[in-house]
Amino acid sequence: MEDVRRGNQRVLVVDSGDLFFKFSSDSDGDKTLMKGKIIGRAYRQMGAAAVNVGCLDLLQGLDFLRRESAQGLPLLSANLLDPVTKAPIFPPYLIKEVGGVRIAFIGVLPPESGPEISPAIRAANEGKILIGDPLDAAREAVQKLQGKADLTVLLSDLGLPKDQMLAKAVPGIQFILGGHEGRFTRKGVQAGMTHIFQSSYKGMYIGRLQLVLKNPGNLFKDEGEVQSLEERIDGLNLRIRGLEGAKKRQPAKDDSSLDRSIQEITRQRNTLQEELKRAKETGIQGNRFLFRLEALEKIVPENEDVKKWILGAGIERD
Amino acid sequence: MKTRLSKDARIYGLLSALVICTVFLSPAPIARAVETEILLLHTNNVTGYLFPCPT
Repeated sequence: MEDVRRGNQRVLVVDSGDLFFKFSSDSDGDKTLMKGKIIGRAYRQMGAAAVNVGCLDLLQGLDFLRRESAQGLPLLSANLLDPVTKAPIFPPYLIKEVGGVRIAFIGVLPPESGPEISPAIRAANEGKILIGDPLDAAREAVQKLQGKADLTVLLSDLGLPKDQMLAKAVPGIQFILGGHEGRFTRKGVQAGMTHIFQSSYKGMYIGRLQLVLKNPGNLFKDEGEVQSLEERIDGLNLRIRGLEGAKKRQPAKDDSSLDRSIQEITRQRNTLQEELKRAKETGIQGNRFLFRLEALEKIVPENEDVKKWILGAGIERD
Repeated sequence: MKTRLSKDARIYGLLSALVICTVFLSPAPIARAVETEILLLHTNNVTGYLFPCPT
């Protein structure tokens, strides 16, 4: 993190939830809690900007999360409510100003009625929490943020289908950094004006969302589109060369079907080349983003402090 | 008949021309080309894993 910050001063670390605990709880409850504490401490040390509460984070009870929040972990959730006051337990959103741009992060977790809130989660939080509707909560937060933020990012533990629904129902969110399913997102999904990403699971990868802002109010273009089109064109060129090679190797054979295939693939390639030309022309102007996943194991050396905490807690493996 | 303008009138005329030129012929404001780059690093579903998982 220190290296990344040295190279790029404008960097924010965020998590979409389900950070601390896994679904099948360890038989050793103390070890589970110890691991959760170490993760919380590591995210504090990294200077995480926002950490959304996911449903699995509630597995060890609300008190664990309250302690983490009190120690400075920036937990947030717009729809995790106090059952008596109906007010959010943690801040519903956080605003971070970076390079003169005000970025708002909103957090949501799945609704209480959904299958995601397991009996174990209910039992650990009996009478202590109420989970409100995530769409209503996100809508209210977006309304409150009007005029206060230049860019709105939703940290979601809902999963992709519900994220898509939310993006269409609640305009004004530029990006959803999602989770719950732990998908490996090579290319973002667009719903309405919102671009949605997930960054795999078990901390194997980190999602790098590089933003270039010219006018934060305008739409964002995907710089990865150029790369994706180039890859598809390369693939079609390869197929055309393969078919032309086959035609040369069998000159006597009736090759009308080969010709038709070559024609059709060439047509597809030409269409993509036109798209690529347009994408290159428009992509270099205005707001744009580039998302890619990087394997943490390969790019980040082990942090000596965290290693000591793990060893000190007597934890040898997950 | 040739008329000669007084010195004040000439200076006044010159200044007026200068003001008109300044107002109407000044270059258009240059569009701001300021871009801000921000990097968001995102994790999800870490689910309590402390040790590296092979990718």
